[in-house]
Amino acid sequence: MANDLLEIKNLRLSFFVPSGEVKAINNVSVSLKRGDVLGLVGESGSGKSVLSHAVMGFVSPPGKILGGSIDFNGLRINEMTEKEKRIIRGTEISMIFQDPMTSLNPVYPIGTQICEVLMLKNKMNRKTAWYKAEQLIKSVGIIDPQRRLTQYPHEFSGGMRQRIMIAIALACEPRLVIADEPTTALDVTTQAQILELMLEMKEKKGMAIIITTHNLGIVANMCDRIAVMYGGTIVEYGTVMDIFYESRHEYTKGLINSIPKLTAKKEEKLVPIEGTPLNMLVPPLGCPFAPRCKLCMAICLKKRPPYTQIASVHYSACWLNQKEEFERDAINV
Amino acid sequence: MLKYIIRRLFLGLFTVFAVTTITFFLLFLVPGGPFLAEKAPSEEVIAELNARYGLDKPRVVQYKNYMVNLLKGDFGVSLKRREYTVKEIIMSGFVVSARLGVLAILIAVIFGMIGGVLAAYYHGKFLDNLLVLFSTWGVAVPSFITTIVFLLFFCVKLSIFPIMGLFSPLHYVLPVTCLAFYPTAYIMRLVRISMLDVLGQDYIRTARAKGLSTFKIIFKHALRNALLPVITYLGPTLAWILIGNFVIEKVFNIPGIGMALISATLGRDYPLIMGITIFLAFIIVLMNILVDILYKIIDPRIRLV
Repeated sequence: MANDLLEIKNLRLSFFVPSGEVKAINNVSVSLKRGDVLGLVGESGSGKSVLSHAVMGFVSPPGKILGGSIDFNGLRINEMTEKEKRIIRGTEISMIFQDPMTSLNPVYPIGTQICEVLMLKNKMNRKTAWYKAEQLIKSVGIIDPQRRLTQYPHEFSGGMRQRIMIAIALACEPRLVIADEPTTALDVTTQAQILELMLEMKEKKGMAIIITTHNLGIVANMCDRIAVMYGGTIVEYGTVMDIFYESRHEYTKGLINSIPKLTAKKEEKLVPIEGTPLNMLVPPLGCPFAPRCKLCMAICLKKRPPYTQIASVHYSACWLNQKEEFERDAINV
Repeated sequence: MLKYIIRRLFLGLFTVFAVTTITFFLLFLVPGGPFLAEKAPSEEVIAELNARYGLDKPRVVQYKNYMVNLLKGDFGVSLKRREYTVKEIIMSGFVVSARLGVLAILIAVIFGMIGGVLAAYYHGKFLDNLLVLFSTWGVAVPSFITTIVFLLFFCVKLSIFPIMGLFSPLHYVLPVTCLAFYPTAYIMRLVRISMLDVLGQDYIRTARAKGLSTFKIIFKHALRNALLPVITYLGPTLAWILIGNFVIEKVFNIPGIGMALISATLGRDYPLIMGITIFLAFIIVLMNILVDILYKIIDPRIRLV
């Protein structure tokens, strides 16, 4: 698909730690069109951060890409040298991180940190870069930019710092912004503001976004496509509508159920997904979610479920979708 | 800032005052006296000398006299080298010690930092192991052993360098190396450890995401954050090294303050011991203030109060 900005194919990535091989990404394929927003949803350890870091080319020992490919705008990222990757970082792909409190260097004023990338990548001189930085932080909603640029990160609140991170990420107008849990460390009202800002910037600059989160609610009104990840694989993929209303995977349903409802009565408890996340050192033979699945069948423990096409872009990896082929002998584990 | 410095200097004066008082009274606990020699003079002569230098008066009176003179800026006269005042002896020694000390500190900072950064960057690789080996050795082996081994090897066995004194640039090589040895090793360890910590921080990942070169990431973004422990260590070390290392000065026969302190202590030269102690206390106080100001310059989060 020539139209795709990013295409990840059969990616396999493992961390080789003293106690064995951790299969963090196991055969993941996903693609992203220009200007689209892809949500990677999953719990801690599902591989969503590793995947987004891999797109950035941040794979370093003990991590290793074992197979598959990451193609970005005609460039094969997993075969580029460190030097080549450095050239596209910041200009073509940039990143917003989870914790804005620690993602800015505490010993430099934020102006310096924004100008740095402008001067390096856009070859601006200090004066034009500073002027551009002023406009940038103004556009992410920071008032009194002239004074603010000379201040240090500790003089800003968490939400403000995340705005600055966004300004840095957008400085060179990249084609793709990877936001790795951009709102997890923020309080709820700030979360909404940051997401709104990201959407607004997307409208203006037209870049594509990959946003990772463990909170389905966050991505609902932002994403064009959602990929639900569990145990290093994508278990379900589709549009927001597909995922929220037509979900065909027990894990996705669990995630949606676990969102606290505004309409819930006082005595109603939150609905968790029972069980604990996978130990990725010994990944299960079959479906990674099988040990926690209420509808687990014998085959789920033995064989990986293939993707079933539910709708035009809706795919789900669950044996239940192929139930006509198997007798449904549900065993509760 | 200026107010802060003035306040700190004022507080520092109290420290120096306390050091002066404690040292003054401690000296009386040390047996012996300045006028005892191998061929002891007669009792009358000693009494006469004690009277001349005011050592026969009660301690409190002696203390009062000393402090009054000190306030006038008078450190007294050496009891051993009577043709010199304490001030003259300290200044002439300080010029020599400080010259060695500044060279040694420069070497220690340059090599220690480069070594530490390299070790952190090549963490777990051969170069890292090699540098850790060196720095552990440098920190673990006391200076009097390295000094004497160097002396034996380079001066006696190979006769590359002169054995003693400070008469030519060549004379400086060994004493400065020996003086720099421990701080180099120590700074290397400090930089390595704090660099390893800093390189794992989120803002380093941000810098990488910006597409900066490794060189810029390490020297602009990481090193400045890793410097604080080094500065903390450097303050007192600089004070001690400026004041002269008495082991190294003794071994190489260098007429610095360290040498003066040794002979003053062995000879119970009370005014000289007091003078050197006060001078050392003053320099340490000064260095600590300097360190705190440097903190503020390096890390804007630190507030000086």
